[in-house]
Amino acid sequence: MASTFRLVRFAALACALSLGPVTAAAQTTDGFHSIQVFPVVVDSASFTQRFTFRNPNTAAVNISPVYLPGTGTSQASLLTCPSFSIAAGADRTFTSLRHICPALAAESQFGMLYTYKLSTQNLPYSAFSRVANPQGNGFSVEAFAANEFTSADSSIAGLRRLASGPGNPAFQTNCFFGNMRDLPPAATATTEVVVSLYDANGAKLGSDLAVPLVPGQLTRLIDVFGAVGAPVGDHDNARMQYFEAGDGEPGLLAFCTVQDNTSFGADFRIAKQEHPFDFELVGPQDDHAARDVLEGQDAFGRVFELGAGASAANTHLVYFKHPDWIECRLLDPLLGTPLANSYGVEMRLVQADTGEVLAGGAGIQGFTQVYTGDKTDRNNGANTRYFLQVESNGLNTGSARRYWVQCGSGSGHTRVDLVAYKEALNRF
Amino acid sequence: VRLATSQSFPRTLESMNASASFRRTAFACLLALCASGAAQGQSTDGFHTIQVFPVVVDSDSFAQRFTFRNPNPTALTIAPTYYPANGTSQAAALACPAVVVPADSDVTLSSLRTLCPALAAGSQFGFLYTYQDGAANLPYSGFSRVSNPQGQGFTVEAFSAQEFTSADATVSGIRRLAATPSSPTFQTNCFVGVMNLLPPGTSTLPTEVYVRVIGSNGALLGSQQTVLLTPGRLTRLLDVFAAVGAPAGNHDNARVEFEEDGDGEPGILAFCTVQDNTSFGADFRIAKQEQNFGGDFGFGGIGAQDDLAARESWLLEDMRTNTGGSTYANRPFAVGTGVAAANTHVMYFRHPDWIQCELIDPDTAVRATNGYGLEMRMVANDGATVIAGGNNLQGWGKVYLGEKEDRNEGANSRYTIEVQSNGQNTGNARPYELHCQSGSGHTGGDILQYQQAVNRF
Repeated sequence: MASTFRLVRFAALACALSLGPVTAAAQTTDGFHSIQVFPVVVDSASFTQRFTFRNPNTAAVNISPVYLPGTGTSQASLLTCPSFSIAAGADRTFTSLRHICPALAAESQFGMLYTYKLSTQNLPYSAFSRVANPQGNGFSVEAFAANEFTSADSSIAGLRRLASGPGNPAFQTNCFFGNMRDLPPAATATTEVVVSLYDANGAKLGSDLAVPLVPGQLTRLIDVFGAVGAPVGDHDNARMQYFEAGDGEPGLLAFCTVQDNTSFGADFRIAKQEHPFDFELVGPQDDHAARDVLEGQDAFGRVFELGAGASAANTHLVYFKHPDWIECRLLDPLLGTPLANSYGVEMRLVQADTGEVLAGGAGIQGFTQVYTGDKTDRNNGANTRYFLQVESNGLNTGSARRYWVQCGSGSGHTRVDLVAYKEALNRF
Repeated sequence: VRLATSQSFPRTLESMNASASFRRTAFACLLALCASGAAQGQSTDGFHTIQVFPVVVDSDSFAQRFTFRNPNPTALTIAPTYYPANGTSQAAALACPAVVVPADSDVTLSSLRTLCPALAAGSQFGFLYTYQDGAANLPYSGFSRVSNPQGQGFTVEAFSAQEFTSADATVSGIRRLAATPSSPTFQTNCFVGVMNLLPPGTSTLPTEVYVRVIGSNGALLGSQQTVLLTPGRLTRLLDVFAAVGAPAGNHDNARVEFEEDGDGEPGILAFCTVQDNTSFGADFRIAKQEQNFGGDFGFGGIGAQDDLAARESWLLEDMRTNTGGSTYANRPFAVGTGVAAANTHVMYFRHPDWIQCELIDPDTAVRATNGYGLEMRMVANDGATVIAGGNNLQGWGKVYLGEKEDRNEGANSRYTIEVQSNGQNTGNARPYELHCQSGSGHTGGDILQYQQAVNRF
C-alpha cells in the first residue's frame, strides 16, 4: 500500500512536470561558468529539488538566483531570490528550490532557474541538482551555461507516443520551450518558434505549430503529437524540429521528455542546435564551433589574395579541436570551385606551437579528413590553434590571385583569421 | 542484491524468474555494475563526427535503445567500437558493423547487441566510441535510453571525444547514507577510464588517476587512491567511500576529485552515480574539468583544458611564426614609441558572459599605468562598436557582453582588442602582457595586425 502510495505521488509529480516528467539533464565536462541556468526546477508538496553549487576558486563567490516561472503556474512573474555565498574551494547544498527562493508562491511550482555570480572578480562555478521524493525517487538536472542557448534551428530525435501493450507501457512525449531572460530586463521582445513533427519516415505529422515565447518564460506542450495534430495512434522514432521565426536571434531553450505512463519514468532530451542561420549548414550558432566556414576576407575586410612570384604568403589562424577530423581547401572566388595548381597558390596546415606540418604542402590546394590526433598527441591535451599557410607556388607570373578558404570539422572551429598578410616569404 | 563482480551478474540473472521483484533487483544490479545512473545529457552543441557514450549496457532484462540523427543532405556511415569495462567477459575492444543513416534521417537500434552482434554472451557494460567513416565532413548526434520492458531506465547521451581531457575534475554532492524511517540508503559509485586512441597503438602507455574524496567540511576522507588505467578501458569504484577507506557511517555533500598523473595528458572519462538502495533510482554526474594543466595560456587556471575556452589567459607573445625554411620566431607583444603605434589582437568570447582584460607591465607584473605609454579598447565584430576601454585606459573589469540577440545575430563571436601608444612613451618600445578573464571561456589573443603606424583612438 505504501509503495502504491509512493507511485501515485510520483505520478503526481510526473503530471506536475507534464509539467515535466523530466528525468535528467547533464551538461558537458566543461562545467564552470559565471552564468548557470537550470532548464527546469520544481517544488511541490511531495518532491524537493536538492541543489549543489561548487566554487573551485580561491576566493568566495556570491551567486544571485532568479526564478523564471512556467506558464500556467501561480507564480505570476520572475522572482529574484536572495543571493548566497560559497566559500573558497567549497561546495554549498540547498535542500529545496524554496530554500533558495523563500518567497516562491505557495503550491506546486515549476520553471527555470537563472543564476549568476555577483562578484567583480571572474569566479566561475558549477551547479547540479537532484529532484527526489523522500524515498529517493527522482531525476537529475544539471545547469547549462547561458551562452549555449541560441536561435539555431534545433531538433530532438527518437520521440514516441505509444499505447500500452502486453510488453510495453504507454509512452508520451512532452516538449518545453523557453526564451532566456534579458539582463538587465529591458529588451522584452516576444518571439515565436515554429514547431514541426516528423515520423520515422520523414513525413510531417500534423501541421506546424507557432508558439509565442516571452523572455524569461517556459512554455509547455503536453503530448507534442497531440499539440501538432498528429494522427491518432502510435508514433515511434519521430523527430521534433523547430525554428525561431522572430527577429533578433534570442537565446532559446528547448527540451522534450519521453515518459512512460506506467512507472512515470521519463528522460530529458535537450534540443540540439542543428542548423545555424543557413539551413545548408550543420551545427551550433556559434563562431567558436562552426562545422563549416567559407571566408574570403578577414575581420578588417582584408581580401585573401597573393601577389605574383614565388615569395608571397599569407598566414591564417584557426582553432580546431582534437581528436577530430578536419578539412580545408582553397576555392576560386569567382567560380566557387577548388583551385587548380596552375592558379598559382598552395597551402599547408601547421600546428602553431610546434610547427608540425599536419597536411598540405607544395603544390597542394586542399586536404580532406585529416585526423588532428588523440588528446595525448598535441598541446598537452588541450584543444589548440593552427596556422593555415597559403602562399604562391611560383606558377603565377601574372596578377594577384584572390582565393577563398573553406574549412570543415567534426566538432567545430573558429573563423579563418589572418595573422600575417602578404609577406614576402616562400616557406615550402 | 548488489553483486561485487560482474561475472556473477549474468549467472544470478539466469537463475531468477521474470517477476516484478526480479526485474527490480536486476535493474539495481545493473546500476551497481555499470553505474550508469538515471540520465545524462550533453550540451546543445550536439553534432560531431566522433560521439562517445560514456556507458553502454546489455543484459537479459535491460536493453539500450540508440538513436542517431543525420542532419546532412547526404547519407553518412557510422563506425561503432565497443570498449569493455574491466571485469566483464568481453575480453577486448570490439569493432561493430557500420551503421548507415540516410540523409536528413534518424536511425534507431533497439539494443547494444543489435549494434554489436558479436558482443560476448551475458551481461556486458563498457563505453561506446562511434565515428563518422567517410571522406566528407558529416556531423551527427547520438542519444540512448536504457530501459526494461516496463520503460524504467535511464538516459545516456553521447559526448564529443574532444571533451575528455586530463584536467583535474570533480563531482560534487555525493553521499553515502544509511536508511532512516524517512529516507532510503544512498550509495555512490564512481567510474574512471581513458579514451581509446585512434589509430590504436599510437600510445598504449598506462596512466594513473588519483581519486580523492573530500568531506563536506573540506577534509580528506580516507586516503588518496591510485587507479591504473590503460587506453580504452573503464574501471569501476563500487562505493567510492569504501574504495578510499572513508570512516564508516554517513557522509553527505562530499566531493570526489580525479587527478591524472601520467604523461601525455590523455582523455580521461570520469563520472559517478548516486543511487538510492530502496527504489534503485540513480543519477549520473559527469566529472567537470575544474583545473587545467595544458594549453598555451591558461595553465593552472579554473576550467576546461581547452585553448578555445580558457577562463583566464596570460599572453606575452603570440604563436611561432614560420618566416621561412625551418626558422620559427615568436612575436613579442610590444608597441613602439610615438603616437602612431598599435597592435590588434583577436579574441573569441561567448555571450552572454562577463569578461575583463588588462595590460600587464612585465616589469611590475601588475596593470600598466597610464604613464607606461599604452592604452587599449575592445571592438565588436562589426568593427565599429567599442565595448570597453578607450583613451588612456589600460584595462576594464567585468563587462557584460549582452544577450544572444545583442550581438552577431545570436552567435558567439570574435572581437578585436586594440592596443596602442597613448603618446606618453618617448623612450623604448613598451612590451606588455595581455591578461583576460571570462566566465565561459575564450581564446588566446593572437595578433592580426602587428606594430602598425596608426592611432585609432
